[in-house]
Amino acid sequence: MKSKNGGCKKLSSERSFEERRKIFEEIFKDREPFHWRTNISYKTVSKIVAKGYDTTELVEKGYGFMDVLFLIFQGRLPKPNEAKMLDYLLGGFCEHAISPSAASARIVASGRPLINAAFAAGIMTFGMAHGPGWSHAEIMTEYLNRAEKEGKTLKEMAEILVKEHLEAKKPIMGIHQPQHVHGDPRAYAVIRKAFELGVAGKYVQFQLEIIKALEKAKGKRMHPNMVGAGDSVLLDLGFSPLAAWCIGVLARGFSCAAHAVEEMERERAWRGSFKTKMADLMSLEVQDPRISYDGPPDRPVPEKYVKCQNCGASELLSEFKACPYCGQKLK
Amino acid sequence: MVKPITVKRIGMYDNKIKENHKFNSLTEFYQWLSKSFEDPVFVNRVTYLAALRWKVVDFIDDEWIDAISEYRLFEPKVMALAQKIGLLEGLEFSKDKAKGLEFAKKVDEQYQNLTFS
Repeated sequence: MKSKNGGCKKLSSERSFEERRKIFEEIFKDREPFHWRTNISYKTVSKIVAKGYDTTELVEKGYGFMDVLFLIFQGRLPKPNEAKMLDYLLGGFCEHAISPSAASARIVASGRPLINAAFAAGIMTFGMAHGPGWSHAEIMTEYLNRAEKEGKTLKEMAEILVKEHLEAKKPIMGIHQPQHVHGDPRAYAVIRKAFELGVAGKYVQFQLEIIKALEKAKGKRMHPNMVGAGDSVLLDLGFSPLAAWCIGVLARGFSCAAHAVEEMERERAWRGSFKTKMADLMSLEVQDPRISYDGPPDRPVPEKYVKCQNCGASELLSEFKACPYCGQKLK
Repeated sequence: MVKPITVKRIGMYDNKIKENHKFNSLTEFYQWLSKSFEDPVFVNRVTYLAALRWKVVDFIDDEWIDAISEYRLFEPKVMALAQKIGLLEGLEFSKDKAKGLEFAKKVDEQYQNLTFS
């Protein structure tokens, strides 16, 4: 009789522990069995240790969230000015009113899923236009590497970056915010704070040179946005481009969560009720086809099948030229 | 009604405070800006922002302007005033420095009407 496990004589559950151990040793004689590898942390029954520090001891001794972010992403505790800078930056970045992320969190929350799905949806909006931290870091790093290779100053390389982007008609990441056209209220303050706290390095300085080069090229100031300012500071604080991106996105995640909570606690599910005073997001009035629809006009659905008039066979495909049952020519 | 505005001129890279001033109104602040900086768009922009934000940071010629303003007015009302005067042409700041003075004076006169209410 053929066994259920693909030709083996015994199911694994039918083997003794000893037999299984021997097979295991044979399989893994040249390779390690799988085990997790991380230099971030470990836990045992009674404690959690991050980069060598007991996490409870850390917080008991006054270290906070910002310190732990440095610890798990960089493996070091920050200097007080660095932690202060990160706190300032994330405090400023966290909330941005109704934006693609907050709106998405709210719309998903209106369907009443588990709330984590709502704020996850919010942060999933981050990418190429909304909070493009990764793209910004990529461009900054690419041009800074070029500056080093080609022996160019930051100013010279900023001029090259601006020229190349303008010629290619590509947006310069980190510049311009469609709503804060007179300058993102947080951006210059963040850059200034980085200088004040002594943490501004080559990324922040390069960002400033880009603003100056763009102003020179366009004849008017284009202001940095919070990605241009914040991401540059995160990179100067020593976070990798990916880590910087994650920290920014997750900081905004708290805002998405707050919006999702408010949506669930304050607004009606679905947002489509006829009973609310305000016509809501999904109200049918908002979707009145006279103002919202520009597709084809109403029309009859074509018949999917044809019927043979001779033998009565139905559900014949319209491309048939003759009835497959009686041979009658079909219209 | 007028409110105080404090401002520092700081070296962009060396963090050195070059000047430190306290003004008693937006008009006084504008007058100092106008005297200190040639660029009319910069002067008009910083004047406008000082009517709105508590913290105003901007830079020009390797120098930070770092101001704290107690005005904190409501932007939709202030923007309408700025557009009426011509300080803002659409959303662009005027290149006419005199518009900044007219705006600052009007803000000081009409402060109560320009708050969030």
